[in-house]
Amino acid sequence: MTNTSNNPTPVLRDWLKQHGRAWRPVLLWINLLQLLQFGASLTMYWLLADIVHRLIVTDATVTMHDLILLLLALLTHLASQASSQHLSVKLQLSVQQHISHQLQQQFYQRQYAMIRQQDTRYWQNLFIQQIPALGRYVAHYEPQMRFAVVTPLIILLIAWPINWVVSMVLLLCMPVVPLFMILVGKGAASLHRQHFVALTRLGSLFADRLRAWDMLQVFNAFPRQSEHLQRASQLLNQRTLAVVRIAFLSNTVLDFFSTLSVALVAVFVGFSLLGEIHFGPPLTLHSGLFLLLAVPLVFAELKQLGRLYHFKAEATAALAALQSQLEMLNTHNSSSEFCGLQWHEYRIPQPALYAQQLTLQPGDKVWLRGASGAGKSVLLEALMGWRPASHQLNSECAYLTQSPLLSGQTLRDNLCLGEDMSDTQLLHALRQVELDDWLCQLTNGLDSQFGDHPPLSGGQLQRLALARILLHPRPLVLLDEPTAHLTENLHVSLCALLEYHLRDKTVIWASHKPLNQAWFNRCWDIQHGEIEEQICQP
Amino acid sequence: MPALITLTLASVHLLAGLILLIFSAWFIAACAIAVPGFNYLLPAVVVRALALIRIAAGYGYLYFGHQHMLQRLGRLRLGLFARLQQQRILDRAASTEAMSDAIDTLANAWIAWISQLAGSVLMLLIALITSAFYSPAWFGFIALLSAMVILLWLHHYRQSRGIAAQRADARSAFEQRSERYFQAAPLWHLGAASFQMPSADKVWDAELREQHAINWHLLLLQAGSMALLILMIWMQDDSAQGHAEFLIPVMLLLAARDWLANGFSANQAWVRDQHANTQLASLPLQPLTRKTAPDPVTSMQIKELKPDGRPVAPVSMTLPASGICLLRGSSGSGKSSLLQAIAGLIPASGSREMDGIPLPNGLCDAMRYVEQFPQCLNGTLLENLKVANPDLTEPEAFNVLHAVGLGYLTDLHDWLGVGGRRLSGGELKRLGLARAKIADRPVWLVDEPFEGLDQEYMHALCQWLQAQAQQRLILIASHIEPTALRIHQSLNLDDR
Repeated sequence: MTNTSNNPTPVLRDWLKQHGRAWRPVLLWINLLQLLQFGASLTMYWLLADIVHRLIVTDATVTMHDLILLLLALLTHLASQASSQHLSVKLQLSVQQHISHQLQQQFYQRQYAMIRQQDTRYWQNLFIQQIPALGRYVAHYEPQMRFAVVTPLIILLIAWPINWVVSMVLLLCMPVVPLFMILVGKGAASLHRQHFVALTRLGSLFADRLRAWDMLQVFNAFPRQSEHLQRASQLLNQRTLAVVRIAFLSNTVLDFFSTLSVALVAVFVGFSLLGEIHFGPPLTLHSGLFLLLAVPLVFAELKQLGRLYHFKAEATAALAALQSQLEMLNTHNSSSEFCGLQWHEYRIPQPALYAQQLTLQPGDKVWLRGASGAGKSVLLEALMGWRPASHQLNSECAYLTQSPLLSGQTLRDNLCLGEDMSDTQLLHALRQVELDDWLCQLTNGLDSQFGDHPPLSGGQLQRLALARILLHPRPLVLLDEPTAHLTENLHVSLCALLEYHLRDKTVIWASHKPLNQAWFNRCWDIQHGEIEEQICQP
Repeated sequence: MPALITLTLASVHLLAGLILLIFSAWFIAACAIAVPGFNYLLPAVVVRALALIRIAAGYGYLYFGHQHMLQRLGRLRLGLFARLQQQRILDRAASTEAMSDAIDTLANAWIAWISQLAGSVLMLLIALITSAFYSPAWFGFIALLSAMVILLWLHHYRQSRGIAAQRADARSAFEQRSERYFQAAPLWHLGAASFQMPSADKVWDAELREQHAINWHLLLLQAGSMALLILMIWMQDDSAQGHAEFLIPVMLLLAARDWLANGFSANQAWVRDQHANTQLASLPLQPLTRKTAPDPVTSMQIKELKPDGRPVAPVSMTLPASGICLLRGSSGSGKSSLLQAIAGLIPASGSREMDGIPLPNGLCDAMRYVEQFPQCLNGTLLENLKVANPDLTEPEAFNVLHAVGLGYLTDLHDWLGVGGRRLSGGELKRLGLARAKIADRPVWLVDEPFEGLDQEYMHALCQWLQAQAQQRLILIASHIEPTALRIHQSLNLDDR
């Protein structure tokens, strides 16, 4: 809404320096076309002023030649404008596609470890809001910023031979404009900081109460909350106005100079023509009118930049959200059979986990223990290659958590995950996990569609997930609390099933619920950021 | 009234700018051909006065416009609040965002398009009327310009509506497909081929076309007005000599792009406005009524209760007036939705009876439902507790906090949520129970209170619940069954 903060944001510039190499030629072309457009409009003004001068003052007729020149200038102006806009639009799209591609690479590498950090809404908004914000910044704000710096200088140079006094005055005004804007910006920013806490608290109130709507309904809390909201919005308005009152001055400073310059030039030129004042070279209606038309252009592009300022603010916020998601990982290739590992000084940087030594032999069964929040999931995700770590596995793993369903798709899709599999295979797997009775109840069998509330309980869902793992065999299986949300009975029966079907695999099983210790031959205990290896005594 | 001020200031700002330019040009021309006795001082004063008026109006428009916008925002928010009082918001995450955005758009209406469009139309009218009185030749050109602008506006408006509709479609398609994609994240590693990130290109494309549409219409406007200008000069007989006022239509046409451009961005904002209105009108809501029940409940009966649209069997049970009852079940067994159906939050078939009297659908005042993940409001701790009872005193608040194990939160005016202290999952569960205690109703429905708690606190919590259950019925849904809990009655939902 307002440019309340004029602090330079080096982050955005750095990011552009790093990633913008490919876009630089296009940006240059945009600027060149803008300059061409600018030149064409100045030519138009010059020709028009000439024509008007001749019509009003000297009684010369306008020739076809004059009009054709004017028309040519107009066409150049329109054509260059259209092409620079076209380039901007294309650039914006390619910037957005570039960032989106990068983000997708991250998804591919960090998978669930990345996605589970935020809700779906957040990820969608990256694509719907944040990435376009960066696109707009690169394609519109960036070229406009350079253009707005160059145009006043061009006007000064052109106005100098016509009348150096006008040029001189403009030259003196020019540093004043940014100075005032910076002063105003600083003032507004400090005011904003002063009110920052109150503004965030009050501003978030409305959406916050809507999010807690069920709870407010249950407690019938509306009279008090409405009153609260009303009071808060009054306070918010007062404080916001106190900030924007100053912030708007920045806009007004520009308006002040651009408007006043027109008025002053008009009076100066008028009085010169009358012979009342004599400064600089003599003026005619031709050169005077041209000056009157050209002088506002000194500020016009700056004003346009001001209008685009929110692009920059949005892009800064967007980059803050995106940058944390775009740290690259080392790629790892996972292909070969698992043939055991013996790692020393294993380290995960964020959140910090350390193991002096980690050993895993094919066929090992590891019980990964630790209080909730100790980092069991983090370790499993790092082993999957979804998090940066000092060592990476070089074989394929299957990962099982509170497994999701692909809603809106069939049971078959949920099992095949894009691979071709025969009915016999699928039915066999379902029988293995004891879901065959359940399958019989489904009206369409394997082709039953799963809607928003699929006909599965938590225990059945985990059995389905196990069937998936049996159908997509991997030498290593990592289990992340598969029974956490099950009652005691179901926990016991699912554990038995998992033990039976995973007997030939290498398994790392994270659980804080008691498991059958006899089944495991190793234990990894996580405590205070350290993983300790122990041999389990049966 | 503030709306009128906004509109007037916007128009004055626009008008003063244009008149300043025209008048200045005229003044220069008049000076160039001045005859002796030409009073140049008055126009010079007028020029400066116009400049000052424009600057002042510009600032005033920003200030009063935003003041008005903020007032509108407050009013619209309260209005929506009142409208939703008897409703439950479905799909809350998406709806909340949509509502906030829609309300922001609507609040912005006067700044974003009404005053812009009105200013441009007003200027057209003024230009038409003045030229009609002054010179029929000028009037012809201004009328042509007006006709052209209006046609362009209309065309752009239609086009914007089309693009906006496509954009909304593209967006909802992207949201649906990407939701599926992100929810399947734990499975990506098993079947890389079948999980492709849906492309957002169509959403972006619509956005870029919106921009493109404005650019093109502006280009056409400029081409048209300049063509008119060239035509006017071409058709000019030599009557212009000595007539400084010839510059008036020239400047009007030359600057046409500047004073008419706002109409196009206004169109876009107008279309957004309409979209916001439809969005608010078509919110996914579920009507919710509230019934006050006789206070001391002696028994509660549930008959064949089944939440709508869930694949679970109906439940019947008779519950006592006091004691702890347990709905045991794993995740997905439907215990949460059953608890919500008993609370009356979600529609269900079957019936609920209190003391033998059937309850109508909807919430019942005798019951308090405690969510699995209780919500913390952005507000002070006291405010968060007063939700349950506005008359809560500070000593009472301290007592309850102590009882649920939040005694270490000693400052009741501490800000919680955004811009303040964030509560952990376990703390939120205790906050939910504290609210139930403060509301002091005869029936509590508590969803998963034991999840993620350490043994020590779990024990203390069981003791406390036991004590509370002396005077009331506490129905707990949980997959954990603490040994310390004396359960009066239980139902296993896994077995069905």
